[in-house]
Amino acid sequence: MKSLQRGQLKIANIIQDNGVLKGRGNIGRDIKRDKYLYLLLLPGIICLFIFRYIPMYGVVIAFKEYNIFAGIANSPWVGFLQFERLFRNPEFSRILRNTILISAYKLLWGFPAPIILALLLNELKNQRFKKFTQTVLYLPHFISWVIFAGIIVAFLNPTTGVINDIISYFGGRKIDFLANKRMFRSILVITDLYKGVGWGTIVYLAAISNIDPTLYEAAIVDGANRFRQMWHITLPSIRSVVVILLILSLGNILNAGFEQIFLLYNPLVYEVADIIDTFVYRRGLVESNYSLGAAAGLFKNVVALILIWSANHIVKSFGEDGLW
Amino acid sequence: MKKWLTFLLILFLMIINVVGCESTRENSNASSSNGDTSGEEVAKDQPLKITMTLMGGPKTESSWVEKELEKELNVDFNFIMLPGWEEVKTKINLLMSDPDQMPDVLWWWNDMYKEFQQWVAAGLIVDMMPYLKKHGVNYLKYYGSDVLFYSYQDGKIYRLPGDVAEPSCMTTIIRKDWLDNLGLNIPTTLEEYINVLRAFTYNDPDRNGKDDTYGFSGQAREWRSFAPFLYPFKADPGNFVVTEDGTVKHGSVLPQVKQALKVIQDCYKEGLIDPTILTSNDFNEIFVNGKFGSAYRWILYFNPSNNQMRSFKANNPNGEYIYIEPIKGPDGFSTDEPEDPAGWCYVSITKAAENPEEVFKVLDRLMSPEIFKLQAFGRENEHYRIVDGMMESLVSPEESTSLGLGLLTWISSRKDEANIINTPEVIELFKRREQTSQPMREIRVWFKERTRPKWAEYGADLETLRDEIFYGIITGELPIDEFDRYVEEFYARGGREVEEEANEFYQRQLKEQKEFMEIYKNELMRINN
Repeated sequence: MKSLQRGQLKIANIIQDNGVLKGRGNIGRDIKRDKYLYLLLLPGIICLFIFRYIPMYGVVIAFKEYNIFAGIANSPWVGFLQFERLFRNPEFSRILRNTILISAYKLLWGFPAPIILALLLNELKNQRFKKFTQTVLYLPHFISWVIFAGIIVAFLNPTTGVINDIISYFGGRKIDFLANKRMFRSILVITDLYKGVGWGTIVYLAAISNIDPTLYEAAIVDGANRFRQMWHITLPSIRSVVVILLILSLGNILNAGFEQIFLLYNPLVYEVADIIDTFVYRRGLVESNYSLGAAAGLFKNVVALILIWSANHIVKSFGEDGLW
Repeated sequence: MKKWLTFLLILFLMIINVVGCESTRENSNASSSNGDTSGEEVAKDQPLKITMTLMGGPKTESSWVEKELEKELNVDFNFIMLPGWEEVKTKINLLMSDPDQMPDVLWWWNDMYKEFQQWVAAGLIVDMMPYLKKHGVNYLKYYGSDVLFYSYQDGKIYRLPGDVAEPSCMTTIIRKDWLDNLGLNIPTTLEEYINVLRAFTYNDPDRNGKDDTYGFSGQAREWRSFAPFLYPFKADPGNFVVTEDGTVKHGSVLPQVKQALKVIQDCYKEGLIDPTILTSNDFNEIFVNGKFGSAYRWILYFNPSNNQMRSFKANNPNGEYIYIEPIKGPDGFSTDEPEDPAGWCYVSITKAAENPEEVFKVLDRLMSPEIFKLQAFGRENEHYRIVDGMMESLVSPEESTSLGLGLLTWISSRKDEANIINTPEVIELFKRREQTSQPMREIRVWFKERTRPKWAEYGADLETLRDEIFYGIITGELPIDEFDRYVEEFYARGGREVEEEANEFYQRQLKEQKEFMEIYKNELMRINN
């Protein structure tokens, strides 16, 4: 039974590839055959080129002392000074550690959550309830962090907050959550999850809906219960999507969520919550230091590039489809 | 049928796009034509064209206020309404970098000080000193020498204040009804004050049977919120201060800060202080809820028209706040919070102005009490009336916006008797606070030069260090002796260079002040003869 399922899976995967076997045919013939498709793609590519690739030369301000009036060309060249300012700072190890830890926690909890939620949503029989639940789950994604942070602060208020009301109702002592170093990172992870999990299910639900129902029928005939169906059909079918999104998330690991942290943190939790971006922000306030921001951004992007490249390489060496 | 429909829709969308572009081109044509009238003498009856950027106020286009001002001053205003705080810096930079778009009068603020110096260096800003000497009647009458000093730069005046806070605008406030309920006297010393806070927290002052009150609260993350604890000790952790021997030090390293922090730490441990003052809060909300007994906040609360006070009274009909004299420390020292004598925002005349002298005359007239009242409040008996010395508005907030009342907020603003929105009692309180804040005013240093390299390099990190350690001490997580470690760290992490630089700049500033006072007495004040 297992080999039959795996065979079916292989066929299903090939069908999903649209039947075009890779590596055959030259590019000229491809373009000629699909010329309207490429034409459709052209404005997007031009836009991408003009607004994303050409401005990349601006990254050079990371090596200068950028003076907004002198412009990029006339600002003095300082080499690696901005990077030294960043790395030599006594707090740098702390902010790097916080950035990586917070991102890692968010990845650990926040990556499987949409998948599990998507699987659960997929199991719903009542279509109306399913649509309703999905809509409700998407909503927090659209609320800006500014508003959401206001709600969180109100909820966690040490005297009047709802959470503390519940705690004191059960006889506990009220907790000042946002001032608590041990709890702060957890609060970040939980609220970020709450905000993003619904939106994250979209891609997975789309992938799940692409699975050939005959696979399920064959499995049911073979006596598989819901859990086994999930384990043997659904999960393997969305494996490529999961892998791609995982690689992309790894690239994001030095972006621990500036807006959220900036709105919720305070000096009492700097030790656990200060990340690269909040540090650069505070430095920038004193002096409109665009160069420092650019240097930090460049550093993060270089690390992200290395991580994505390595992850992609590893994934491909396991036989999976990578990002490229 | 469907094909025609889609074709029409596309055509419609394209037309909208093109029309949108047309109108922006028209706007830029209009503003460039303002700057293009080259070398013409403005005839006496031809209205003077002035392009001005506006940031405060209702930003109403073609308002009644605009038309009235144009009539009064014989001017044709072209107001450029600046966008919200997120985009305004970019917008101003754009306007200043394009000679066709540069306004005649530019509004800008402290955050753009660096850019301002660049404009000056590039020759884009007009020196107003000669005009101030000849025509600056209202400016010189209203702004004293200590305010104007901050506009003075190497013998020139490139900017004038657009909005300067009253010399002191904050006071200690306390719940009078709670004091009466508990039979307590108004506290004058720190010990009395803490006892009152204790009673406020634990003796159910609002008589509702619930333990839901705090003695003390304040706006989160501001050191001045702790003024009633800090100032009795002459402690000023947020600013540079001049010590007894004349040297400038950062207020946070002085020993009296340790004393003050110990007091705050003890009060926090006892539960007298609202913990959100260290994390994050919306003080307006806290004020309206009325669950705390005392704080350090605005004098303006005591205007009957003040929105926060009105909401508070609606929520707490029996509640009553009063203002009290600053709390005295163990040495009998007390002070209120002095405001930065420099404005926080300014107006400058740019190279784009064809006739800067005439433009300056208009700006000066805008500062006069009559024009200020007209622009800010409208006409007496038409938009407001004075009853028993207090101003009563006759228009709704929506009407007030569409009329454009307050249009030139932050361009020309007065906080004296012309600001009739204040009651006589509040005006008295402002005057009293100006006196009671003098002790702190004498030792605090406000630097004229906002970009100081060492402070730019180390300042942000030193402030982070200070806040982390001081807040930790207050919550009790760190012992009070961590303060000594803070002082060591402060000097190790660049504090030494920062203080050296501060002293340098301070000495330079003192010299400049002497220079300016000469010009002020001998040339500027001649205007009143």
